Amino acid sequence: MKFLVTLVLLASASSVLAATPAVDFKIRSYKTQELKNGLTIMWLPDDSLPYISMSMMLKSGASEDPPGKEGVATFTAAMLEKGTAKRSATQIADDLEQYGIDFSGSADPDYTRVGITSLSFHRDNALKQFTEILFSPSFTNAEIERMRKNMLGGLQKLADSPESFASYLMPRYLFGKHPYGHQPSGTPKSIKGIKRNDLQSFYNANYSPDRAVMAVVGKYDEAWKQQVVKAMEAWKSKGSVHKELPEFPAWQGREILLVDRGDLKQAQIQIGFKGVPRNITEYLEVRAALKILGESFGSRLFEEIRVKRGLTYHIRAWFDPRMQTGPMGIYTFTRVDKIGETVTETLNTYKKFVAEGVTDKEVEVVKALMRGQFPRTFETPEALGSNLLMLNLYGVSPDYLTNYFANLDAMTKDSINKAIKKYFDTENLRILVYAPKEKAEPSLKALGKLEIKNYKDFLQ
Amino acid sequence: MRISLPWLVLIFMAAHSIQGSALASAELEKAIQFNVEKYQLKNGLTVLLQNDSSIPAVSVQQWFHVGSKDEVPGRTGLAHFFEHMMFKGTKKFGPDTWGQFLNSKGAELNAFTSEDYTGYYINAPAEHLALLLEIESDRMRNLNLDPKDVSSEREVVKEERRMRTEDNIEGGIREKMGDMMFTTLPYHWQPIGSMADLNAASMDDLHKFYKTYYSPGNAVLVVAGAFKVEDAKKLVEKFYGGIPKEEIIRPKITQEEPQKEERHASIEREAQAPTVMIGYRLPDLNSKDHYALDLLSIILGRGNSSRLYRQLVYKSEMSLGASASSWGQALAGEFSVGTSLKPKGDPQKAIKIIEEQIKALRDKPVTAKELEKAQNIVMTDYVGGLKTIAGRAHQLASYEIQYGDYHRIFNDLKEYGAVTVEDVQRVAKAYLQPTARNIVIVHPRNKAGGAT
Repeated sequence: MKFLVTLVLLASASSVLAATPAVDFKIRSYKTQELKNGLTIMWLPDDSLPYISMSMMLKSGASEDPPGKEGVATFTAAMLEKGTAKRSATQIADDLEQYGIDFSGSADPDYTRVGITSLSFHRDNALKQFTEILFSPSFTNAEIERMRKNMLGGLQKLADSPESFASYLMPRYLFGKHPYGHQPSGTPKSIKGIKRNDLQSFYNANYSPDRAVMAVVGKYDEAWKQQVVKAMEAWKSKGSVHKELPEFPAWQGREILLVDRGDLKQAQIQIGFKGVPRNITEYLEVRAALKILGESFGSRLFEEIRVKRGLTYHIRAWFDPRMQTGPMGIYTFTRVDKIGETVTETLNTYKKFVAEGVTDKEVEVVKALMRGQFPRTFETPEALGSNLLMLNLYGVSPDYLTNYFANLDAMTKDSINKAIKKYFDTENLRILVYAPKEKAEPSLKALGKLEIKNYKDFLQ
Repeated sequence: MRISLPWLVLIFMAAHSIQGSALASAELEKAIQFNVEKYQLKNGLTVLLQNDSSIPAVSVQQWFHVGSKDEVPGRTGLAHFFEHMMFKGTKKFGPDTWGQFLNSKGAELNAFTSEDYTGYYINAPAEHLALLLEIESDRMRNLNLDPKDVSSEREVVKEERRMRTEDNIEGGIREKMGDMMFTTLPYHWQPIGSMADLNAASMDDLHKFYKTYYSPGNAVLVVAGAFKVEDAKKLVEKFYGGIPKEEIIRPKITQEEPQKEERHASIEREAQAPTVMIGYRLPDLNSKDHYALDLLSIILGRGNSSRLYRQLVYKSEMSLGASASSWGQALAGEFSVGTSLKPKGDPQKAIKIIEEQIKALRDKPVTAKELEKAQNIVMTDYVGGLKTIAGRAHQLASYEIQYGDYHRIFNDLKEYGAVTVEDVQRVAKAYLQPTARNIVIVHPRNKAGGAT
């Protein structure tokens, strides 16, 4: 393990769906198959290296957590490998790791991901493990209590990772009681209240082949493919119903929440506003706009706040497009005596960007960037599989990928500026700052209606 | 004596799986082979070319044999600070080169600085290879180094330090650990450097550093992706051939005396729970013992089947997580065991359990099954790093810069496969004695200011 100091933190989240094919680049071919039980499988064989990966997306996530039981989707996904009808948690860990097989389960607001990766030499074994874990988790009380304690400890320790803690607090500040108003990890209070029956019910309602799509990638032959089909056909559909999500909450104006922690040397700053659903026709335009505004080197925020003013090491504009309107915002951090200047100049840069729109040159650059990124984004079939699952979830045609270059060509300064005017709100903003009160309060008071809480209030 | 059926099954499975693993290892070694052409220019630049036309992209990696180990007390953090300055432009390529200009070529780029090396990379559409080489060769020699840029970038680097070290518990531990474990070697400090030294770095320091270390004989250039090898060679000669060779004089190194007594340090800070890290000094990366140590670290502390997880997380439910890792560096290696306790957890109990587990590794060979597991995990990791052009380019640069021989990517698998349970016990005894421990504990400070 190496500890490297990098020049820029690379933004990881939010842009999973980004990117198109370059001129002489076409996304690799794949086949889609629907089983009788409703499960959709995408086959992406790849002989270049000896591995396989099965990645499944269940179309239910943390937004399906019942009120008061926030965290159920995550808790359920984490419990899968903690025991099945046949084996204990320790047996499963032993059996997986013995062959270097990796199982994972996690929940996002809109979906649950369950996957397994392995060297292709062990693919039969991996398939057996995957289906057993997925189809027959036992949810034993002993393992539930063990997991609960770990989740609670993890939530409490989050406060010691300032960036993560600020991100953890942001959804509830933006969405309130909306199903997007909590992190998939839940809150200490809700995790304490989750019972075995809540997990079992969530599992019964949502782990069903008619709500699942799977990408099977790697080195395999027809015979193994048939084994996969046979194994997955044994999974019985539960005919579950999906909840409709409400609209983004209609709060108005600019508000600031200062979360006080006295020992921090740096202030975490999250500026959030109403974003977009994934399904909008101007999706590509919004992505382009965010890149111009604040994605890495050369973006407006990077040049103004980092390069020119030396106020931060990292700043980015981000969005999380979802089934229903998701969040959008700007994230940065700065030393505690520069909070006022950083928030003010970030907002000024953002407002100017929205008021004046993007320039011809910026559009030309961003199109070239997105064109260049596309083949690299889809270099591995795993990345393609992952994107196909997302498109399927959000009901976006895979044409998005095959027509990417044409759509990129069709994007203009006008179309981007129209999207900016439509979706980028400069009036209704919620700003969250995680910093020492004595340093932050004086400068933040001048910037909007200020509410102050202690970070420990969020550890209950 | 009657042999029961489960016994038979177990014996059969063990025999079967061991054979399976050996086969897998040989097959994997075959499967991961790829062609690399390596040569050196007259000025000493090492060049590695790896052709792969699966997508129309290239990755250019320019790494230098310089890191925080080449710094001196009073100027820590200089290698990394300088890395930031490499994005500020030359006469020919202004500062927006690494912003809008390279964006307009569809490129992405970044850099990193470690104790031993500094790496720069650009991933871009294949048609821009000539441009990328021109830019990289130009900034190897012709950097502007404007005092105004230096002063604003100094603040950026200090923000990075606040993020990585001041407001980061693990970062604080790393700093304390290096400080304690190394007294004469330059691993005494971290690549990010101290705040005082970042403030002290002068223009003169930066100029000297640049001239000495950013020279062709101190660099490895890797080009991977879609290009014709002959074309790439011509381009490399064109852009790099004329750069003069420099003599590189590094600060004098004083090797550490063997550590005879356990050392302790503690950090009191606002924290939700205690954290413990235990470090042991290891030989440098050329020691063959690293193969056994890597496997030992997996058996001890990687994954939910590891010995530490079982004891600290699962059985005693004392910790949220536990891990062990082992790595070599140019001047010395490190073995590190860490555990993040639950709120109100007792660090001394955790330290006791960790030592019991390490003692078990010294006293008794691990099982053949555990060793095989660790070998399987190493194999899986291997494949993960080779899936993309940029990933392979990074691996090549990393092996070449550290070992001076990229072939180890292919040969290491055999070495891991040859490690025996006796080797694992031997390295545990040689390096993981209680007297060689360096222990850092983070104690949460309560409101009254005392440790809880």
